[in-house]
Amino acid sequence: MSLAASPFAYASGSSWLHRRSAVTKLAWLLAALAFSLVTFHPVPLLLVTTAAIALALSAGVGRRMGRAMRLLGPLAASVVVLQVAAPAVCSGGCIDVARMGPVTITAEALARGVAYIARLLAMESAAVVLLVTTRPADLFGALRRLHVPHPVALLLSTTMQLVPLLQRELAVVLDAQRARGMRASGVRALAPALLPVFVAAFERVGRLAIAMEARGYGASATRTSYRTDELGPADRALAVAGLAAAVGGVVAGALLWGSGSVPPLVVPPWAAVAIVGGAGLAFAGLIAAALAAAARA
Amino acid sequence: MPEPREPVIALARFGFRHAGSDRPALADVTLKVRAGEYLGVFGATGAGATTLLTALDGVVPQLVRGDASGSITVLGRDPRTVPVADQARQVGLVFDDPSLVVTQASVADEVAFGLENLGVPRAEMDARIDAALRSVGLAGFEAREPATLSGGELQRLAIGCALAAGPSVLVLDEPSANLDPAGRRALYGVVRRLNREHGVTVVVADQDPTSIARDATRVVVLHEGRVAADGPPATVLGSPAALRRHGVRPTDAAAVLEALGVEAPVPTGVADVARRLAIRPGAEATPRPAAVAAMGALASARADRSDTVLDLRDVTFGYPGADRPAVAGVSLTASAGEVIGIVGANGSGKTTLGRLVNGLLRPQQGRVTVDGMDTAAHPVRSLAAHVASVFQDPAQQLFASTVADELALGPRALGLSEARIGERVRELARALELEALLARHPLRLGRAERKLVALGAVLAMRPRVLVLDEPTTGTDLRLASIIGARVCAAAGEGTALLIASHDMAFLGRVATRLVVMDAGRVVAEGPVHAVFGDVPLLALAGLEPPEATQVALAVSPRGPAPWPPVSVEEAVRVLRPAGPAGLERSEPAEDPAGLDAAPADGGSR
Repeated sequence: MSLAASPFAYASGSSWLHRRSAVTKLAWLLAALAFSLVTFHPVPLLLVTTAAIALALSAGVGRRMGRAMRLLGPLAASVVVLQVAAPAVCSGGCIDVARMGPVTITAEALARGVAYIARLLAMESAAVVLLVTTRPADLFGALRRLHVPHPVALLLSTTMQLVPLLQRELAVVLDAQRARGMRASGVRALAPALLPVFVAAFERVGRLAIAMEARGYGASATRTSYRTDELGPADRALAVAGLAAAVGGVVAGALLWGSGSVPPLVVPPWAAVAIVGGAGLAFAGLIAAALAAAARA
Repeated sequence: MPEPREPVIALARFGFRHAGSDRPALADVTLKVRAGEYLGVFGATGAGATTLLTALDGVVPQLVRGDASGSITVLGRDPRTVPVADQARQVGLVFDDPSLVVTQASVADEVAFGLENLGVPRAEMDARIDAALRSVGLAGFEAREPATLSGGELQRLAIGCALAAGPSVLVLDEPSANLDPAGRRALYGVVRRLNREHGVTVVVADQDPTSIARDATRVVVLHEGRVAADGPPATVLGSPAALRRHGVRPTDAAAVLEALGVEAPVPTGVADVARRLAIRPGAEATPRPAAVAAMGALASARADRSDTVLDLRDVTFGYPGADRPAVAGVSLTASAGEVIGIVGANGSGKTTLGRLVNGLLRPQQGRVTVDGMDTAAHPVRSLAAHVASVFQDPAQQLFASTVADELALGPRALGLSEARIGERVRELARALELEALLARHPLRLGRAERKLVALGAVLAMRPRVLVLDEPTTGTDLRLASIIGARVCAAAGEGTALLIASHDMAFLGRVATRLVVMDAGRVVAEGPVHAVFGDVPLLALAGLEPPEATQVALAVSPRGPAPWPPVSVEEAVRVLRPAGPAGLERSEPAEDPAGLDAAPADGGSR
């Protein structure tokens, strides 16, 4: 019943990264996201991922990061499968590198798939480091401070609560199915489970929203802050550096590693099959693991 | 207590109809509440109590859409025109679900959240947080993570959060529905103090009138959206028959007096009722030995059956990361037809025990055998034909697209013929009063009706063992009695039931045996009369016996085994003046008017 905490939720701690202001961390997240969006080159993107993992390790949340990436990695892998299955980028001639049954793997699709994975992993890992080391209250404090409109902040807060909530609900509903003598594994079990999961989760979010408003959330007064999240000199400097990195990253990414086109990835057929097959397996494994985890919990 | 002043709440012919509903949730409600009053609101499910309470904060009709009519004024302003978030300064709102208060990472932050929202300067916050937490008995909890608090502590935190904003009206909607008896007592103690010592105006709705009967200065009963009764608690709650007509449960103490033939209004509290009973003619003859002996007959008849269908041997289970096992070294057997009540404070391991029985959890040590099957050796799905369970939240176990299909789903999985399935569905629908709802989608029903459907869905499988987790939480009189009747019927057909519950009165009516849990261990186990009779032991586990038992014990602390009675019916039977020679009223034994001649004790208080 009591599930382990969601890998994307705040992990309490007092590391140097925990102590940094949410504003500073948002500045660096912005840098990572902006950079990841202008470039398609796998090498700098993998550097971003590596840096995020290094940060997580230095803050003592490496294990959390590992769990998050184990969930996100296979999800990103699905991109390769999709890119290969539907190669929309071949305007001229495409270079065929391998065949997997009815599917032809082209160098262009492969390159795009790999680039997308690298991009997704870079963005995800940067976001996970922020979420895991920042108290939600501080994060929303920072968003408000940066004049993010109230409805957006509310949307973010309910969405963040919804994910672990859906996980918990799904586990209970699958339990209930088994206790009723129904199948609780495989895709056929999921279909009837989804409605009660969403109904329960959305009813709860609705009631939570009412409860929060009844506690003054969204009142007309200018919001004050209990945690005086004053930017110290170190945070101030780091936040400025983060913004500079965001600008620098965009410029450097655009100049050095181009933006639009991805050079075709010409590899031996076995390597292409290995990449696509591996991604496919990882994707399938994710679904299987999610079902197994939910059924076990 | 502060003198009544001008009304802080005034409703005149106020009505509300939910969007898409053809029946008004509230109609023609006229009501004035003065500063410093403590108003208890009662009503069956759907009678409009929640609508009335949330209208005071503007949630209805601002966040819950529909048509409002008539006028409503709270502290001089129409709550329909004040944004809900701003109304938090005036009106504190506390809901039935304790987990709704958890939004922050610490208790202090939780209280601060409201202050931040309302723009309270930082310099004032510490003092306000201190004062709020002190007044709800949570001083010293500042750094705790809210998610680790018990339900009772969370509800008191919810009150503290509301108080910090400095409201003069506190509105609580079924705040004790999910609490254990100790948590309920502490919660209502806090509410009483806020009202008496700080002059906070209180409006509270609850299905259980016991705590409110003692503290309220006034009581309103709603029936189908209209005010059916309005007056002092002694008058309104002292009329059990009238309350029942409106689908509201009377206090058990009042119900005992009423059944003994005392004219309404009767006193509602244990001490007053016991005093009233002690001075009536024939009092010295109670308890009646023959009636007492009959009480134990059913329980022992069921316990005598030797066909053990459930056997737990030294079972231990702990969740990963927990500092102690949730269930530790529990041994327990159940025979066919037994109804075993599992009682204990929140977190004592009741729910975990239920999940070990239905195989959803496997013991880390020890063995669980259901109907001869070791749960560790069989998949949950194949155990399902033998053991079934109803979870606390029924929405989680409803999967079909109509109520009829939901009831048929289990029997179908068991491979029954369609004719047999149809028969079972019809039978259950009649017993659970679901006939009119058979074509509806289960998830479009209210929470109370979902509870019945979930119960019906497992009863349809005719399991040998049935586990119910808090089956009466938030249920009104009608629902609780339907559920009670089905539990007894299932036991009569040979199902062994395990019922984890905080509802002692319900267990007193249906249970044959009780298991008391504390911190994962069984601290006491025995026939229901013996366990409910051991008040000191129950107190150690944070529990108390049903009110009917308390009344009987106050009249006569000792009696022939199996003293004391554990339900209103039993208490009435043994306390009714009988016909030993020498008493004024010697015949007939069942004369309910026997009490009418009792000297008036100045009426009810």
